Amino acid sequence: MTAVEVTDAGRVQLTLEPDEARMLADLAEQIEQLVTEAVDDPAFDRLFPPAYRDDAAASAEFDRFERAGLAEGKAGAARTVMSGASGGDLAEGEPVRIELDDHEIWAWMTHLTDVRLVLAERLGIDADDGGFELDDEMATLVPLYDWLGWLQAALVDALESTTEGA
Amino acid sequence: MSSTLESADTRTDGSLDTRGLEQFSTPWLTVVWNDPVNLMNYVSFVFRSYFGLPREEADRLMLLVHNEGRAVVASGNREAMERHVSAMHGYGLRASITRADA
Repeated sequence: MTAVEVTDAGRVQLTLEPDEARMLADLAEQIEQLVTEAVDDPAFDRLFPPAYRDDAAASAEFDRFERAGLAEGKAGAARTVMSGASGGDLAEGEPVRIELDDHEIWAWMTHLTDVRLVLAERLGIDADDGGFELDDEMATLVPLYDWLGWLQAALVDALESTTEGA
Repeated sequence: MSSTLESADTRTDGSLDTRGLEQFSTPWLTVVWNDPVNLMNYVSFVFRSYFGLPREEADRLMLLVHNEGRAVVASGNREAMERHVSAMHGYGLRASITRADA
């Protein structure tokens, strides 16, 4: 059973089923490759949106200075998730328990955002109402997209509860 | 803004070089745009964590983004706005820089 809890010590603890952990590690690896390879991708408009909406030259200049650092930040977050979700030496079928410090939980939250940004591009999600049409193969990604959103919201709530009154 | 006035050139005829002043007196803005992906509690939490806003203000800005499609979350010189926009992109938020009078 997937769970996000706050431990007695005030740390956020994530429990994942082995399949979920494997899938998250797999997605993280794909995102890491996507942002570090020098190949342009349609999802880049969402991962690295233009800094100046009406000024392509200024946006290109911004990218020249900022893109590498942003990509490295996203790749680093993906690696944090990959190593956490890989879970070490666990017995077959054991749930993966990951305790996250502040740095790691931000890596998880920003990474889950990046995964959902890429999935949204693949799924053609452009508006809040979710009005999009999919072929059967793509439709199988919708529950994943929703589950990632649920996980991210749970992490935000958990981190919020540990910082409340701090 | 005191440094702005100090750094404004005084021409030999005693008049101020107003080009410099104009550049500083028209601030730049950091705008966060609505997108279908980002979660409301996440956006508000990013505003609180990064800009150090109280919860009420962070929620107000987040709801502006959600309901109006965008919100101005910061204003100031161009370099500072570029830092903010870069940070917002790091969080996965859709943000851009614009001139206050644009």
